[in-house]
Amino acid sequence: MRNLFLHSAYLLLAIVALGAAAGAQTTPAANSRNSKASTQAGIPDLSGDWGNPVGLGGGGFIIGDPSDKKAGTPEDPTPYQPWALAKLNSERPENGPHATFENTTDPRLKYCDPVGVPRIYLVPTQFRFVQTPDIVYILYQYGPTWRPIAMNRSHRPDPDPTWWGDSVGKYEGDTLVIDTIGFNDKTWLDHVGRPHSEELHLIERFRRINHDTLQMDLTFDDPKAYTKTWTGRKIFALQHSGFDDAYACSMSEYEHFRQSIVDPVTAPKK
Amino acid sequence: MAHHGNAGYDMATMTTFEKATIMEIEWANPHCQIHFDVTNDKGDVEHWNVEAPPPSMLAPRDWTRRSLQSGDVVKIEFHAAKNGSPFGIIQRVTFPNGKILRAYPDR
Repeated sequence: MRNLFLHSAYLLLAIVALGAAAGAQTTPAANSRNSKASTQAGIPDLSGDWGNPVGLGGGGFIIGDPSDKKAGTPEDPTPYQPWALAKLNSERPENGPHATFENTTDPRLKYCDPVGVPRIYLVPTQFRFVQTPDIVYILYQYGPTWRPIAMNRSHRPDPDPTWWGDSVGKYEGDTLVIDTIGFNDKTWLDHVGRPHSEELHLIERFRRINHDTLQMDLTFDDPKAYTKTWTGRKIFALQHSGFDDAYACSMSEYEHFRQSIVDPVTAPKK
Repeated sequence: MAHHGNAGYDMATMTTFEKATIMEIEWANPHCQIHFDVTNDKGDVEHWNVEAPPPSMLAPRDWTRRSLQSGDVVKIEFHAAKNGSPFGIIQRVTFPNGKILRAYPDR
């Protein structure tokens, strides 16, 4: 609890500082499209609001290198352990080859459970980094939610399993590397229902490959659920629309949507 | 990509109503809803309801909660429910002055 208060205080300070800076002047990166994407002391400048490239339909999900349409099929190269494949194929997601519009088992849709990481990057909302020397905060429009990434230190010993895990980070040249363990096993990795265990060790690598483009590389290491390490990638585009409309998951709103859209659309054909 | 999939809709076919009368827009999560009336070939009024992306996705595409007002008559293009019910998922709206609001990028 004390850590939570400390994080909240740091976040507040960071946001106030960010707001003051934004009010005083436009950041160099925002001013010049040719600016070298770096800030003080060689720390890469990841500033800006990041989201799906609009021209790609808003979704654009590449993970593992099966398309979601192949998830769980014989063409899916994801190295599932048998139980993980069986679990994937038992789910009722609203995307992928088993897409269904009714009776979903998706914990995000069914319960408004925390969407977790990395799945939050598939939700068509935006995120931004607040880079402070000790902690990088990632602020997500979805939720809205934030994660603290403790910089340049080791994981806490034997962290309790949580929805977002225990994240530490470091810079490797122009790349922010986030290392997370300590997940619970309640989230899906993606919209089609790929599972994971509490042994998931996730690495996110963020690199601004040009002023307007952010590349995220993922490494999944979860020997309990997958026979070997596998990878994914997603590209984000710099957004200019503002970050004002938070996306809150509300069970009462979802229930209204279910009654007014999902139920009539899934009713038997007359 | 929607909050949920689009398995309930005929995504291969675009349904178009040249004159749809807006009744209400619900500006809400997980999806906005656009209620409108159209007059069919028999002269009967049909009530339709189509889902749209949430506000967080519509706002960057130049929509506001006041973009469609009750009584507006617009051209509306959407993918209809597979089961034949008067529901769908919106693609775009065209106003009489030619202005287009896209709910999703053109497919």
